[in-house]
Amino acid sequence: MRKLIATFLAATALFAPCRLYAWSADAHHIVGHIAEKHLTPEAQYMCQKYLRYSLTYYAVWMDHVANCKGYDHTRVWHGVRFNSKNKVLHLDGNNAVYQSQRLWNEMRNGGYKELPDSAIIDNLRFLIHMVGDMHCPSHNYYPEEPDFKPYSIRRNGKKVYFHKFWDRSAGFFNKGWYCDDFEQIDTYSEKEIKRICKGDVYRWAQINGKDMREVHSLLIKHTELRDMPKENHERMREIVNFQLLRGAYRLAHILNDIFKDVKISDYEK
Amino acid sequence: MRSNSIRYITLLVVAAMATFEAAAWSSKGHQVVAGLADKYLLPNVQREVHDLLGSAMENSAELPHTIYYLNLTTEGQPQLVEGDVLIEIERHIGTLRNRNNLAESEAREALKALIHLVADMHCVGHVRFADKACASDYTIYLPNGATGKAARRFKMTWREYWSTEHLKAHYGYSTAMHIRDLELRFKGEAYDMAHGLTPRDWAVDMGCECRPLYAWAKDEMDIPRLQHLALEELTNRTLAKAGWRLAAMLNNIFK
Repeated sequence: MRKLIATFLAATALFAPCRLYAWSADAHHIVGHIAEKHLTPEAQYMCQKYLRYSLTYYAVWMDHVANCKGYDHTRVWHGVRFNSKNKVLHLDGNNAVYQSQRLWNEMRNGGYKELPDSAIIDNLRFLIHMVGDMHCPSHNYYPEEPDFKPYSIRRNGKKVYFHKFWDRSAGFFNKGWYCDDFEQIDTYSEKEIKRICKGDVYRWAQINGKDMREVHSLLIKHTELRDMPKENHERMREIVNFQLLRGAYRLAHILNDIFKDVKISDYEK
Repeated sequence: MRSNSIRYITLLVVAAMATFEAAAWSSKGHQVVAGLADKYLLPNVQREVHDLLGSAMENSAELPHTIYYLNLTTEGQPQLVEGDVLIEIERHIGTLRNRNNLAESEAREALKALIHLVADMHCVGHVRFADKACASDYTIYLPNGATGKAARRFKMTWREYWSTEHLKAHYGYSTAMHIRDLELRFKGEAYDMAHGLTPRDWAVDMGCECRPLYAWAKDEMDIPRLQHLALEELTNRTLAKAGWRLAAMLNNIFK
């Protein structure tokens, strides 16, 4: 009976769509803010034309509408699940990777011109959020592997779940920083950014899937956070900040690609 | 023992009332309005304003202890009753125009009050129509839209909703980031928002902005999530108006 229940639970975990929200608001804002700094003038012009605000402004919009009629199907687009070989589990498209790639494909090569403005605006707002989400350590799941099951730690004696800890990790590891303070870590060269953005969303996810396994060993199970080794803290900060930048660079890369053929002068006539 | 308890309870009540009284825009809202205005001051005006305040405007937008409303008739005209924000603004403008005959501290206080009150006047929750004078104290609920166990309804007053809820959503934003968003969205309208208008014109304009909302507002109402997101545009527009109008007014007073 126990085996049966365990199998059922494992199967549920494996096929359950990625429903929970990822990065907290500040992390999404950071991704949006840094991405904006890496947009081409054309992409910046078009994003502003459609959104009328900055990318940052809409970075959390997808979380706000997740429970609203007409958008509730997107509740399951916030994370990604991997098998033991870091291959993305498809789950009928209910994950951030499939949906980000789908929207990129739909919009690129002038595809956005075939869409009504309202769809372009929604697609942009989805992309801004999902590309951030897939880079959140706690939104990379490994349902087939018991070693990578989420767990809890203690923070000042209080129980904090793995998921919640990583959701809020941008603020935790960079205390007192506003989103624009993160510009100081945006120091990667053009060449390095090109390397980070090489390939498609599936390749990025696979790299994330491989890299994010490390956080499970750094954040020590059931341990008080302040008692964890200093090196672990430093490494976790490094990972979080790198993931924020990766998300930002890749988001900018997608938007630059979508709007690469735009001539601003055509729109200003 | 008993008198200690009474003292403690009294202190708690006073503290609670002070918090309640101070609730206009959140401090972030005041900083955004002041920061936006500061950016659009003429260079010589900015110098004089900074000298008088001893800092940039953003740092001088702190909350006073008294709350002022913009009281409008049912048709949306200024009522100009005692204690009205419009009367206070006009009084402080008079003080600043006469600043050369006054002590610097008096001019400084007037300027600080003006920075604060122009923002307050543009907060939807600070508008009172004669036929719905108590609307600012209406209880409203903001549901998260979820169903089942995840469903939540956040309770607040109408005034608290307009003061804090939309700004709160942009957690981690610096004041500069808020200002940038307002500029991106409204810079093209800045001239029309501010040029050649007096505080009384602003009052009538706020009446036009708010009248449909107050007709819709009800005590104990829910504001659905999508509606809440759509209403953010009004919060942003009123913040932008307050910032550019404050700049235009100070440019005029200190020119």
